Amino acid sequence: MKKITWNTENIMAVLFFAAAFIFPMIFGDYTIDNFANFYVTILISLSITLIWGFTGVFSFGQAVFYGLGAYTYAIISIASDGSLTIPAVLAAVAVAALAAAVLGYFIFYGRISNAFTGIITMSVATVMELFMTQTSDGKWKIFGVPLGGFNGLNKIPAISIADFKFRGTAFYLLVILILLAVFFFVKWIEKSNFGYALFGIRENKLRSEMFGYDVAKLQTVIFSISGALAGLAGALFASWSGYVVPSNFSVATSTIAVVMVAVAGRKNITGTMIMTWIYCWFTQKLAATGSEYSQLILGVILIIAVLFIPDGVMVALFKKLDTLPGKLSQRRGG
Amino acid sequence: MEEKGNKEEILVLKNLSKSFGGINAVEQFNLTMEQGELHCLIGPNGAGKTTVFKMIMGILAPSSGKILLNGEDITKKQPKDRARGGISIKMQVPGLFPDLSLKENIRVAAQNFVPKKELNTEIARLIELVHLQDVSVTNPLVKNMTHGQQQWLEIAMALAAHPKLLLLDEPAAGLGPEETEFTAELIEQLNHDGLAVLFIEHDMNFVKRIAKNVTVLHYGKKFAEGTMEEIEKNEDVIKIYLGK
Amino acid sequence: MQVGYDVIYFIYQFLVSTSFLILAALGMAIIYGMMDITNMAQGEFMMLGAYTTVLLVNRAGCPFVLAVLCGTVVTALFGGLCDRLIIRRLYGRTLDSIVVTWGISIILQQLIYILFGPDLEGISTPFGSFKIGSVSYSVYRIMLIGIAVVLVLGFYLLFKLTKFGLHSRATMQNREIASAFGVNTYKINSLTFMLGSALAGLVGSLYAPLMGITPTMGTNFLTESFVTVVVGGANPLAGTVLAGTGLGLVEGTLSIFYGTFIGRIGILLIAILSIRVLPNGFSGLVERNSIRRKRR
Repeated sequence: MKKITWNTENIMAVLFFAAAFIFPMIFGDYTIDNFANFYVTILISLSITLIWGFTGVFSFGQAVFYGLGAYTYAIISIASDGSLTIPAVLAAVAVAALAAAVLGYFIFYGRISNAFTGIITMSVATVMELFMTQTSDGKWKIFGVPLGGFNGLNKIPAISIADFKFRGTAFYLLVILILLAVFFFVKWIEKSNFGYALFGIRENKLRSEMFGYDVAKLQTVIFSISGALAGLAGALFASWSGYVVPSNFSVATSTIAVVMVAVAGRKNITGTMIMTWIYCWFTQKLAATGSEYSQLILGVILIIAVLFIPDGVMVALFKKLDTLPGKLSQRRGG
Repeated sequence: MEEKGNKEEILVLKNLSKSFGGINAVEQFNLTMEQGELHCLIGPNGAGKTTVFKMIMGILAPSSGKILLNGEDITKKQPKDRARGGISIKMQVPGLFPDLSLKENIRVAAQNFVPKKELNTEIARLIELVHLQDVSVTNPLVKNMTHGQQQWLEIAMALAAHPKLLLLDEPAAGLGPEETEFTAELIEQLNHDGLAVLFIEHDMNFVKRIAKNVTVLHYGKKFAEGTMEEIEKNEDVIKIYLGK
Repeated sequence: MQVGYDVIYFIYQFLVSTSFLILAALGMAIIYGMMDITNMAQGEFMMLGAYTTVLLVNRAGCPFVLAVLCGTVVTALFGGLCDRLIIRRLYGRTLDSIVVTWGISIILQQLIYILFGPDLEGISTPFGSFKIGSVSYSVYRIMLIGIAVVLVLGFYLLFKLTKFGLHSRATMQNREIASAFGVNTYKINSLTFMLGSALAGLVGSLYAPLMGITPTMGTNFLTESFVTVVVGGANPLAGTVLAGTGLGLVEGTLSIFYGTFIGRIGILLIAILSIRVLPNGFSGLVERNSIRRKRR
């Protein structure tokens, strides 16, 4: 079971990370700084794969937990004047995980139908955004940091260890290392009993219960893990951009990730990572000409993908390459 | 009536009732099964057989009455606890995981009941038990398997929990003659090895072939009960059911 | 005397909240109850109705009532189109239908933004207002309360008395058996979806004078319609009316004392709590789902 099979997917995963480490040698600082945010978006995609692809729960909670992570990091790092940035990241993850556990508790132990999980989480995201928007008067403060209403928080210190600030390429490499760790974590889940329990729940909740699974508990746990991941992405975003605004809570922040997961293949994390990267790159190229169309295009792609390629484009592609006779997979076969 | 804790009786249903919005699907139903018994529940469509199964498994809560497993009252327990307590079910509507492969299906069913090291051996054992070795070579997605293969896979998955009591809802439904025969042999073998089996079946030849004790349900009430021979001779039963 | 005025004001506020909740939820409740589809684009359908109405009034000088009618028809047709092209392929695939209807909502929001910009000049509230004591009351909002009552009664009669009502209730109970008895469940579903869309269009048009006309205005309806449907549970009409009344009381009270935003948070919290703490308020949904699964 421990042996790695060299199928297309795993080869692509290796290439993906190899490329990520090579990019800083090819591209300039500005491009690399931009790329860093692509990989943060990929983290959101992976958190959606966990909850939607693995467990079959469609949720907009990622927006909530991403926003909470971003604000938590911003508040603590500002309040500590940049001296507690690592604890701020950890706190961001913890707050997001806790919020997800609480919301998940109500949703999953309440045995709410799948149909409503999407709307509950979307409502929570909308209300959070509204709430943050109306915090502009001075009385809304946490640790002495005013929440800033519509303008949000800015001048957020970057993540730092002692005097070393993670900016530019250093930040980029930090994100890649985190992503690599998350990738192995998700891969581990995919192979573990926990992962198979989630697959069972995705395929047939009631039946899973009759094999002795505590469905509500498992769902709450994975929702919380996925929330923590989104919170981590939020904290990294706050450190990268130096600002957070209420619209970080808006569902639109996770739109790209949701669509990419749907298009690449809900259960396939390598495909999802590559697809998200490609999309981020494309929108950046297109940004100058017509970014207002990007949401429109995303919507259309989403519908087409769900209707006609429910298994995902990347998954189909990987399968094609796997079966190419006498090609890659067999030569390297191990 | 208060003879709780009788370990000889694997399953006792006491005055079990279930109503859906005023309609009594099951009414004051009593049933006692000994350890290792092979018992069949028959009755016309809508007699409440599947509802009884769902109450035993905990999918539906009874409106009134009690369910005892090995003398322990499990009426209020959740399905997951009943599964861990030794009840397993093969449902009428295929309860498989369609987008997972054959082996993955068995893994999901089995991993709660064996240590991780033994998981692969256990999966192989279960596949062999229901004679799916040939299919398991290609390990197809379950949605691509034949109906018969799916039925047996479900039995294998139900057995993965090492149950003391196996519930089978129409194990022979939709099977050809040879497949039916194999299913019958499988159930007899399991019962021979000491497993108590309660099953629902419409195919009377199948019932005659394997059942020792039979309970007839009609409009949610117990209509008759006895050995297969007694039931076959019971004129009322013939009138409502066997003769049709 | 002042107490009397306060009571009148409270009742007014309560009915305003309740009628908004019921109107916002009715379309979604019918689509969910009958088809088991959660239409994430319901809010955007309302936005479509509102835009049609506002554009007709402002740019074509069309009378308000006629514009509302057009808003309803346009949205119904758009809903029919969506059903024909997309939703129809997803009957029975609950999760995918959520994703796809959300895709529709993204497209609508962005399309309207591209066509008409970030907002439209609103239209004034018709029919003026009158004063009781020191508080002025909007005639139009009172009319909306009346419209909510009329719509609920109308749908009650539709479902109880007509063949469509009978067939749709049969389809809701059990799709296979209904189609075995010769009910064209596809047609019933299409009609239901169009009906839900028409309702969205009507409600969006009716609230157009009272709201800011922006591409994202649909999200303003979302929380309200969702909480009402969730708390209401099984029955699209009775459930919606009861939940709307209960939540209207909460929202109306909170709004008077703490403002509308707190009112909104209040009902969202109540909805989330009610899922867990009051399984009975919500049991209709769960129970019906389990019955639906049970049927053979």
